[in-house]
Amino acid sequence: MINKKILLIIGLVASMSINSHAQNNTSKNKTEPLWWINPNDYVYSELNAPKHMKMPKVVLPDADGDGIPDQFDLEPNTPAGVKVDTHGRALDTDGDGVPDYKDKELLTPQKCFPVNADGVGTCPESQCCKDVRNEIQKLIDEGGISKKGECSIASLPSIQFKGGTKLSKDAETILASAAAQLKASPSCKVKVIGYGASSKAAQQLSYDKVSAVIKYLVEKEGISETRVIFVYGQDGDANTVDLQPTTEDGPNSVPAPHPNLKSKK
Amino acid sequence: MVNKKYTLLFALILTLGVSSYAQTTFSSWDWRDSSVVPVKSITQYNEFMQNKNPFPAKPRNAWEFSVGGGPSTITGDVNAKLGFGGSLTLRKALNNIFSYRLGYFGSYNVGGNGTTYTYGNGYYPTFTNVTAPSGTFTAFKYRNISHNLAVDFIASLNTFSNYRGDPTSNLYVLAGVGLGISGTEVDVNGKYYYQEHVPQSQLLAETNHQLFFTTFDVGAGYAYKISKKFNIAIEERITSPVKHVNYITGYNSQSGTKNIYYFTAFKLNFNLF
Repeated sequence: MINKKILLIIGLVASMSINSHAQNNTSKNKTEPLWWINPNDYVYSELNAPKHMKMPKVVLPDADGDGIPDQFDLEPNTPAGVKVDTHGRALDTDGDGVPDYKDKELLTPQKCFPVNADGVGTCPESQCCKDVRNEIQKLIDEGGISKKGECSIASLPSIQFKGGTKLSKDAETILASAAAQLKASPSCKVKVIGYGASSKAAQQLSYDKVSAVIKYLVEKEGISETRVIFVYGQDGDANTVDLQPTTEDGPNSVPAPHPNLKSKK
Repeated sequence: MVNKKYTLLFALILTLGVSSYAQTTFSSWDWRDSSVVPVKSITQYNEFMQNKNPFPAKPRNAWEFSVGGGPSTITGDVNAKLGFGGSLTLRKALNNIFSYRLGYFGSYNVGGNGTTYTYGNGYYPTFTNVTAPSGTFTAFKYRNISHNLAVDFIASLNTFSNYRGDPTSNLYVLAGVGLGISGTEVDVNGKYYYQEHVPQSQLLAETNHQLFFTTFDVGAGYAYKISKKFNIAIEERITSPVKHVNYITGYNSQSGTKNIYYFTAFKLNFNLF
């Protein structure tokens, strides 16, 4: 009786075991019994290689605000508002090494390279321009024309005073010839330079002498007052007033430094 | 005949064990696998997959079927010699620590000693088919076949390791309640007779020479994983009647020591995928 029961149980066991064995290969919709599973497996596998974790949005620092994170920015100090390329470098359209925001010549042709700090190229002169320029220079050298803004008068004579501020006959003759030269070269101005810086009296004397010369040139010889530059009180021989052809700008008249010391004629 | 069947059984079990040992390609629990999620948990599973719930759904996990055998004994007024017992259990996890187990446990024990006992003092059972001899019992002997149907609750003592993955061994303790059935035959003058008329206060019932009584049990075991499908275990289980049952070992002395079963099982455990 008992033996039969045991046999029955054995049969049950065998059938269950075989059945479960067969199911193994066809379906697996269960895990192992939970006491064989470490629930930390899931936690640590997520820590090790997250497959499920909701990661925070990555914020990458971008110090210069050009839209390229510092990590990838090849030019981390681009000024604000400057357009950059994908590597964060300021755009340089013509590739002359000067970025567009500093480039005063945005599209410098490559034949004009290298460029200066402003990105402006030094283009080689074309042959026709060179020929024209040489021809003009030739004319200038021959005295045929004067270049605007240049003075072709090499030098003008000096005026000598004999103590006072009155012009001598010789001096007036010299000034007349100088005025003739100035009239022939309208681009020239004349710098009238007086000497005498040692004392207030000497400065005033220098002023008076220069004034006399300029007065003569303007009133007697008809030289435009705007072409005369008033310079006085320089170190040098107090009896000399130099006439110096120039293209510079300068004061046409200056106030007297010490009117009370004005010399009597 | 029976021996041949037993041999067949063990051969079968060993074959299954070896074949499952070869199948080590089963993946462990994958939280993305919806096929192991029961229908009632599919909402949680979906929420989890959408990161709305931080916890994955508890997966459907396999029952464990176990067959075991090993030495057993019974203590009492006349201790049994070392006999043998067997067990068939089905165990199911409640969570990663706790599980419950439905089990049948059987044992066969023989006991006796050379002590001379005196009849007629009221401490021995009466017999239906034999007139109680007068005088003394000499060389008292008995044999017992017991059955126990029990529900055990098992707690795994494994901690959730932070240093390695799934455990490969499992230490556990158990406690449970059950129904005990015991049939004891006592040798009277060379012949065995079932004892009868045991005091009913100890029993639920006495039917067909079988004593029915409630039991409680405690135990501990250690399982070692061979494969995902198969593991082996050794378990000690101590079963005691709830009431003061003391006729299981055939004789009740004046001291009336309570009978207790001890069963050491070598178990073959199969996970029923």
